[in-house]
Amino acid sequence: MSSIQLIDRYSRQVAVIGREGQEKLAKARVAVIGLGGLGSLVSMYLTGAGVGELTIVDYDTVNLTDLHRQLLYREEDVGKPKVEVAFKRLRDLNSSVKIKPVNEALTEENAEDIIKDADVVVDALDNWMSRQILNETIVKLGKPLVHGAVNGWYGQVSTIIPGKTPCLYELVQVRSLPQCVGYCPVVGPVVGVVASIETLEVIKLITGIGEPLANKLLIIDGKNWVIDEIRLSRVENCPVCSKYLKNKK
Amino acid sequence: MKIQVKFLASLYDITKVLKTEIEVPDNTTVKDLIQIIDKTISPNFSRVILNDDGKLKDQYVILINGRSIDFLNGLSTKLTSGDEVVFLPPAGGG
Repeated sequence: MSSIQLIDRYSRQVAVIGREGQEKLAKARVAVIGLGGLGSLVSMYLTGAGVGELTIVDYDTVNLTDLHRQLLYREEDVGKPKVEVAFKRLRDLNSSVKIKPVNEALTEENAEDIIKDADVVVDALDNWMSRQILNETIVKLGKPLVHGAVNGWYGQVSTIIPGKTPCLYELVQVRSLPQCVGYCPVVGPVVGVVASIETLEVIKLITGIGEPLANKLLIIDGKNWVIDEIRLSRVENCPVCSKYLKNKK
Repeated sequence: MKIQVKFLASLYDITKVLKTEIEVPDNTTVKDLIQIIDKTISPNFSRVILNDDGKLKDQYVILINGRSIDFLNGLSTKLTSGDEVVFLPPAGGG
């Protein structure tokens, strides 16, 4: 695709983030961990926005109960691997984005390899056990992580920058295993709101425009429309940060 | 002394209060604060967030000035004037 076509395709966005911003997006490598509600929507937006390379990670297959919120998938996809379906749909959306599907669960063994080349990592997981693995890996590798999670009418987003913000372990420890492993009740559009905010964070981190949610936890209450920002502070005794970060302040 | 308190997501649903200022005695702990909330804001609050043995239920987090009490002194953490205490059930799904 020629440079003129590229600029034209993204003209509505270039008008906001500039050519330089678009070029930064085109060079950026993003890893989206989880292709459920959050991950499928974040992947669509990032592909539409024209990131350079998108790694999509999920071991699961499409289930009928996913379709009320995972708008990347269709009824005909039920039973098929999510990364396989996502790969095709995202390629159809924007063929200039290099999509790298990883049909695996995130584990302590593969996490480092999966995210080592990413400029930004997106937490679109559905459980805190995997999040702790992801958290430890991003702290170890010093990668920015955009965290998002949903439950019921509620959601939250925060951007983790190792060494500069609290890590996820400082917010929720392993003892706080989710109340909804494998089956999180949620209203579809809440996922859409949280996925949109996560994607905005990714675009802001890549382009350097705006204020990311670093040291902040944004809480979205879609039931009562209470949107509140909680200021977060690092703790001195975080075992994850202490293990991997030197000169911790 | 005065403490700022916030209740978010499902805890806002229970208390119907997003943020408020509470007057507490010196040396009040988080556990004391929860009892004060029971008396002044929402009568069943402690039963919602604490187990029968008085420990914080796994699905809730309490932050003091942006730090989880798990990294402070738990429910025995003493509050100081002007502290912001946030009660929240972190989301887990995706």
